[in-house]
Amino acid sequence: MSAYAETKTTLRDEKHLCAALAALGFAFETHAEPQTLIGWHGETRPQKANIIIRRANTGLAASNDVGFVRQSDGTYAAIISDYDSSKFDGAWLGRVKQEYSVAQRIEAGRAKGYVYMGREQQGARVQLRFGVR
Amino acid sequence: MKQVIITVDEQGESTIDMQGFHGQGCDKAMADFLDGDKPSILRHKREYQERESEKAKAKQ
Repeated sequence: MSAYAETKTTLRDEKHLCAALAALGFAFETHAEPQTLIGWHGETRPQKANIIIRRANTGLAASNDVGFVRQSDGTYAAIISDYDSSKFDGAWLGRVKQEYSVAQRIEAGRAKGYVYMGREQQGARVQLRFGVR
Repeated sequence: MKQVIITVDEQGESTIDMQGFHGQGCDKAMADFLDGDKPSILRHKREYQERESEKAKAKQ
């Protein structure tokens, strides 16, 4: 082995974020301009987001829509109501980041000509293998 | 055999392990997979350092 590196995941690419949400089984909307989130009683909430999982599509009986809004620095922040934060918690966001990172690494590897050899689940971790042509 | 093994944990932290790469080829391959991310830890292993040492000796 010659080298290794560790990196933390920042959500900054819409394409990878969408791939992550799809991999986790969520139906979602994407909007160039942030759209209003809808709450428990069908009321509009003050928050807006570019990527929205409508509460009916969360699969976790969320009371409010869950969203991701693009910030001025280009990264995405999750918008989760206090009421839903026990379901959409740090562990949930961690899984989103995990799938985001998987999508990012697979695309980066393929784009640079490496051979993607597959994905293996190892407990809570995911292992990706690439070969060299 | 050159292989890249990436392990992504449940918080999205990636460990990128380059196997069988040497010298600057290792740096280039690592950059390919970092995809613009800055590593919190980056460590070259013995093979890399041996190769660089051999190159330095050859130049002398």
